[in-house]
Amino acid sequence: MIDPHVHLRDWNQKGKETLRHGLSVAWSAGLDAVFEMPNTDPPLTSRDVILRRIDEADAVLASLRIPLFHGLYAGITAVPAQIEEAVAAWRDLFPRVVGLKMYAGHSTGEMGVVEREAQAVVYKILTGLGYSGVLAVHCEKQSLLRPGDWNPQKPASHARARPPAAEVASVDDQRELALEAGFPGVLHVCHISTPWALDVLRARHAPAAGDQPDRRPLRVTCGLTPHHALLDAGMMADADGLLLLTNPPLRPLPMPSLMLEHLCDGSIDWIETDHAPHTRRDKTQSFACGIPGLPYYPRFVVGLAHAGVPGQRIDQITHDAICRVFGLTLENRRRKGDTDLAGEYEFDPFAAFRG
Amino acid sequence: MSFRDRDIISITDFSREEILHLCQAGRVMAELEKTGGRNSLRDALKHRTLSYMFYEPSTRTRTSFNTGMRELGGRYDGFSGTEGTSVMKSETVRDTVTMMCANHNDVIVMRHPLDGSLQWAADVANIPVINGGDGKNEHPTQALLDVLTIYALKGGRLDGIRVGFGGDLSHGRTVRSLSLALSHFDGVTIRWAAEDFLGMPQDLAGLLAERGVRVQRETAVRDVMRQVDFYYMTRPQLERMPGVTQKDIMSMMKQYRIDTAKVEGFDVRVLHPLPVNSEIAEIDYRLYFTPAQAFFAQAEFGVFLRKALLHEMLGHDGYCRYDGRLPAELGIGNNRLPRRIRGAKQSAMFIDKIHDGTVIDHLAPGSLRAVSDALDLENRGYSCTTATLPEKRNPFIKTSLPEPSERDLKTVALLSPEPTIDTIAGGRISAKFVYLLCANTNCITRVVNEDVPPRFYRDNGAVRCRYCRRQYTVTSRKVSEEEKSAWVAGLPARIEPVVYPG
Repeated sequence: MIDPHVHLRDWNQKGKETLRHGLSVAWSAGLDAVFEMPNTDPPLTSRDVILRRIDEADAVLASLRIPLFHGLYAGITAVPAQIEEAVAAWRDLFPRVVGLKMYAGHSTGEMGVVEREAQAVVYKILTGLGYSGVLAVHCEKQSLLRPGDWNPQKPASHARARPPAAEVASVDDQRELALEAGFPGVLHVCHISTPWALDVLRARHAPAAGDQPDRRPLRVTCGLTPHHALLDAGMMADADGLLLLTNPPLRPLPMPSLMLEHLCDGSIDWIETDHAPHTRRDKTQSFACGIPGLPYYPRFVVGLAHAGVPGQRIDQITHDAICRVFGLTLENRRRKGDTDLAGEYEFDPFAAFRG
Repeated sequence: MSFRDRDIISITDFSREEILHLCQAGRVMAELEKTGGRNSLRDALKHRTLSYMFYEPSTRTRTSFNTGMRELGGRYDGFSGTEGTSVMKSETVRDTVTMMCANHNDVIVMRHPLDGSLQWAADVANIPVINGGDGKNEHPTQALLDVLTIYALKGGRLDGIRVGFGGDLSHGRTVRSLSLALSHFDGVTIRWAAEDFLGMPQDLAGLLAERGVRVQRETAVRDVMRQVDFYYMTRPQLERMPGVTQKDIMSMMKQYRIDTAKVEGFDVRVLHPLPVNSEIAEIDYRLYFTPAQAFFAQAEFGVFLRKALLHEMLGHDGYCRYDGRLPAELGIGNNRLPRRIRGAKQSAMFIDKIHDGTVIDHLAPGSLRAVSDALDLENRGYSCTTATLPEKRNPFIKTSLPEPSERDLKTVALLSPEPTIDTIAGGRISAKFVYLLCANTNCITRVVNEDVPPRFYRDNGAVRCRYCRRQYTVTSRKVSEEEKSAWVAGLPARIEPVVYPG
């Protein structure tokens, strides 16, 4: 089983989590591989930092004596030379550098490429370099966010401050820009959270009017987090609601139930946890966004089986599809994860789901 | 104990031993499945055929019977939904069932919207009939599979079981059937929480208390969850609540929906006969993920139970008994309450005496016009005098119709309950009786075209309809107590099977 979307902190954020802790929890959760996101502090945007991260992760894995595969994404900024460096790092270090990550809206860390023009440049450069790997994108259109609606006294207002429209518009932008540029890689929409965004993404099969027939078809994928499938905005109404802050936000019912249905029926390609630990203090005082998702991973998989999803489909969304799209060969050990890992973090957003 | 050639109509027909026997047989089927022996009985019902007749939608009941038949080496055929059958041309249940017998089938599984239709089908058919649900009356194999699920998940124990009920206890069949099945066992406790409108019917609560079941109402779902081993949730049966909208039900169900917060911290398994209504969402989709969810396992036990039942019923060499004849007794009802013939009283109002004909008397006030229109006597060539005597409230009809047909009587009784009939021959009263018709408006005996003769039987002190088994009380004040008790004494003391010729 692979989790292709985790944030492991460490370095200047040792208080939130260390590489050692994160990797050992991932192994206990039954995972064979994790792919780490580049918004560490300092961020994984240059070859030097990436190499340093790889060395440290290797040292941790060696001392823990666990055969976990640690992959990472190189971060993309709006600077052309940096994009070239990231692609070169991917070329040299693949499969260790599994792909690239772009923040099309600001989330945690300061590496957003938020303007549509800047995003267009990214796709052009990547196409020019013949980048054929995965470009994972955090899709929330910055100009449609409504920070004025955010009221820390009412944590549920987070869902209104980052409305579904922002995600839908951003997914639409990415698809259009990638098509325009003739992007040869795979456009991956991270932690998709609304059925409409999925509809926009699915339009990949219907060529837009005026399309040249010789235009390269775009490869598109998306992933769903357990929290966007099982938690809803209504759960943020009480005092502990701040603990559930995450980007994109939890959506109101019935959106989560529809997303889960799409995961089961094959419209969503895989599960990713978007594991992003914070201290309780960071959550309640600086309103940090992100929740620890790794401990729940094994429980989610058991839950899917219990709810009647066939084993073959579970293999697809936890392993096979990820290997195929990233072009990796990894063994699926199908280890039974420890379902009692919630105590590893200061709070458990999935406390209501036993087992 | 034998299930061979037996009709499976009501859960109340099963004894404690029979229920336990079927549970054990069902568990054997489950064990076979687990150990890879799904098809190890594939010759058991070779050349036997099941006919399914589903007048109403069904997913699980039909397919699980078919699966059971297939895995036992038999075949199945039939219809699901009446479109494409002669039911669309107003064919009666009797004729349709007879056709299924004529088609060399060995067993019938049927679901029908009218209460009591399955007892009627069993009367008509000369092969065993299994009730797959008749109106809001009974669904015995659902109750048996629910019991099997509890039995299996509790490691073969049913005594002292604690079950909670929720959702719609009033309009569905499953709560009634399951709780009656459980009432055979010792120390059973039932707790429930629901809005009054959807709550447990009084008669059921009384029946359960009589049979030694402890029934307790709680105000909150969590109070129930805390004190039970199983929570049996049901779908609000909107299709059986005319005039109630989905919105009404949503607001009634608001605090009774089952989600993860309701079961948190308790060791309880949630059962549900399925389907879950996705609009009302009486069960939150996230509960599917928790180990409390046991209704998918329950649905699979349905296959094991039905497979075991078919094996018990047909697992010997069979024969088809169809010879095209229906027993004469099918056309005879026992619903005529005879009255003693005394001398005629003098009336203040002068009405022509009739020499030969019928007097239909004591009609309900205001029903005269509807009854005379429905009988349409004048167009049929008979005289028809209608009147309401000044000293009485009830109207009557005098006609030259020599003897009213069963159809005429039923038509009258539907519009005006318990009409009094006097037939007159040669200027003298030749017969005097009250025509009784089951009071359950959804009973098959009340559908004129189905032509089912109303029949009653004695059940301890009560009189019940043979078909829908609803209790019946004679209300007509024109009958003396001794006439009533003489009639009751003459009724059969149980539902006697129809005897086939040959």
